[in-house]
Amino acid sequence: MAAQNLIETSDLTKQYGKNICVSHLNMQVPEGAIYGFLGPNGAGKSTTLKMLLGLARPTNGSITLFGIPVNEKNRVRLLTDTGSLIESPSYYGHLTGEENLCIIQTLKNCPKEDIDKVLHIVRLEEARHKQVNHYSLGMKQRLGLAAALLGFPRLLILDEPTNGLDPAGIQEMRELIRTLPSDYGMTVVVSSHLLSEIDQMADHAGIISRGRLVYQNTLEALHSHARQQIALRTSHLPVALDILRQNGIEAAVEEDYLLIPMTDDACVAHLCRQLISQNLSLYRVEKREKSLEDIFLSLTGKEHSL
Amino acid sequence: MNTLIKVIRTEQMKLKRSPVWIAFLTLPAISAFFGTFNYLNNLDLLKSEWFSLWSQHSLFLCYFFMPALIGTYCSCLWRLEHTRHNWHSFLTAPVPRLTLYLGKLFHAVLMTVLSSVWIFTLFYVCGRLCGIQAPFPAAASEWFVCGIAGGTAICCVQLYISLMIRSFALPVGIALAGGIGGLFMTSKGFGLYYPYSLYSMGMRANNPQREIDLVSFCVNSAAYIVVFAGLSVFYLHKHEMAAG
Amino acid sequence: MKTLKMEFYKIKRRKTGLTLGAMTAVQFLWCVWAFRGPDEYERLQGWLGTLYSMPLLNSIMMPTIMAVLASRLADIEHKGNTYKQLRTLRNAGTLFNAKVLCGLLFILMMYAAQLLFLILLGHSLHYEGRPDMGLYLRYLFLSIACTFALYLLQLTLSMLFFNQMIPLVTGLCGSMLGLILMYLYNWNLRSLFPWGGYIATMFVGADWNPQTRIMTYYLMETSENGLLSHGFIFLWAAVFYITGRWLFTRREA
Repeated sequence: MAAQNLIETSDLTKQYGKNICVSHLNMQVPEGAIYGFLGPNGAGKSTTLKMLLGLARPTNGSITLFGIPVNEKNRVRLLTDTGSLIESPSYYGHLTGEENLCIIQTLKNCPKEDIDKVLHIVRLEEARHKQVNHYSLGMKQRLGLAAALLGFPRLLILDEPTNGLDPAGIQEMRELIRTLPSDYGMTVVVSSHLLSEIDQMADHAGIISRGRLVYQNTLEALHSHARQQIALRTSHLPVALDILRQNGIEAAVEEDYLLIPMTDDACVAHLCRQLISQNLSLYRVEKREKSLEDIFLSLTGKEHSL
Repeated sequence: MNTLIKVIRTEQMKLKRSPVWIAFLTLPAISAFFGTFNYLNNLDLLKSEWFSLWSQHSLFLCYFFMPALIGTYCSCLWRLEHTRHNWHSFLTAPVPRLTLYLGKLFHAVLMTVLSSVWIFTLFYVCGRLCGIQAPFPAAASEWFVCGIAGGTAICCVQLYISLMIRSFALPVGIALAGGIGGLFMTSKGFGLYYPYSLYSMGMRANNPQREIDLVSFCVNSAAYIVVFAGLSVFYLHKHEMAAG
Repeated sequence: MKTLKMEFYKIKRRKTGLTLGAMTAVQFLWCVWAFRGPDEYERLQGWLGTLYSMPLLNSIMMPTIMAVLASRLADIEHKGNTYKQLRTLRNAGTLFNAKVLCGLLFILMMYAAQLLFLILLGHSLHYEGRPDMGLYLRYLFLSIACTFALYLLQLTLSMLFFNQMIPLVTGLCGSMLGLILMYLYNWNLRSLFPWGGYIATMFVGADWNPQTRIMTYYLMETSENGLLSHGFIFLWAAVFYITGRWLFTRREA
């Protein structure tokens, strides 16, 4: 293993009654990554994150954080190194933002100066003495993030952190999250149902659909799926495949088409000449484009679309 | 131990700006005011000075209202977590769940202690104002200690009920009903075995000369404390956040 | 009307009826215990005696029961943060009225159950004769009015404060006052308190003879002061309704 995985789940399953919420999930989050956890609403994202935090018990399978198995015995030790924001932010409305942070700071046993630092990071310094009941939704969300950042834990778990933020706030939150690994050495798991959002923040992605992890790799690898391709249709598919291979090109077969990676005009012309010279009829040469959205939808199923 | 102190401090912070103490001042004060009034109006019947005054002060307060008041306070403590999605932050704090529970229990018991102190203060002041010359009864210290023990048992029962039932009002209703039930239980002689009458039994409410079996009293109080504290901690362990 | 239906729809699965039912059941059990084993003399005046005891019981229990009921009806809006949403659908006055009516229906059901229970209990204890329905209706009317006034007070408090401790403690203090006011014989001040209404409007009196240990019940004449205390109940109800509604509509969403 090249990089150590900070989170690893094996065969993780959660069942509520007959309803299987999370099914045989093998999640791997490398240290220092920003792991985008992507899936339509109700796919099992929150349930998975809750199991990571020990808020829900797996029906089956196991989890390790920092190489330590998640169980009752290690719970307190693991939570010390973890910050989280799940679903909606938690807060005591009759207290001020600073008092809310003070409660968590005391429980996490981190220095008092951290409160100033995180308030600065989420830019709530001016509202620190205001009761949280009077905060806007976006401010509450930022307070939730500040609470998660307290103690600058090794692992940060954020469930839909941009909920309720305005466009400027969303942009700000994304930029902030992007800097966390380099500035504080954190590993971040961030869930979202928006592909574009994950695309802008994350370097790793896991896509979950109906409780199953249907994709997991670097975001780069996901992008490579999205590249443009040339689709060819000829009279004799296996022969054409051979010819392409002789030219050093691996083609994928999809229905009657051969798909090859996007290449320049000269190369396409050369390939076409080769095919024709072997007595094949060339019916179609098309440019195909597959967007990230297409991939996402094909992975998660159209009926679950956003 | 250190963690427990931290948790107690955070619970203290959470209660800031919640005027819960007002309730603990008013109810005993109302009871003391009218109790004294009644005592002065019936001096021909109530002749045993401190003991008579105590029966007037403590009767209703200890039977119905302290259980209900403790119930209100326990509801208040858990409501902090039942609202505003606070279960997430409460249960992801790096603290053992037993400690989290003890933090809540500490504050419930503290309130019981403080209001008992207040009840005795009112008792003493009213007694002197009524012109009772006799020395303050020494037995009162025993009533106080027993009252706290019985009160702690009620705290544990009510904390469990308020933890399970996510409503504020319902546990209070249960506590009041429980207190009324205590009236029957005590009159039937089962007072020592029924959690809601332990406080009034301990405080010797209504009948300062009542002899109680101290051993059974302590054992039963301890049993209720251990069983219901255990149930609460067990619930905190088993409890899962519903899928969102 | 629609708003009222909505109100009942919202408390589905909240077991509000069950809660009230349970608390009423406690009251019934108390009655069973208090009225148990009547002798000949008590049977003779059983129906009248019931009308003496019930206001006392109501006085102790109803303030708290109303606090619980109002808190349950109001708390759904606090918990779900639905107040703003509702304000966009209905005006505040209609909303308040719906909550008021919803509570009133629960109160009516409670007292209907109480009447039924008292009659059944009386028959099972072989009380002499038949209950005087005129007196029973008078009792019901006064108790319902008094309970309704307390409900209005509690509803207002529960809607205004997020912290439900405040209304609940008010209810408890009310119960306490209701209990204590019983002991203040011949003190007209008790009709001044909304919680004293049950006692202030009692129309059955009792004579306790310490020698024979016999309680004799009798119908009381309604004096001028007595009439005044009837008036106070309705005054309180009106005051609580008007201020409650005013505070509620005035509140910024």
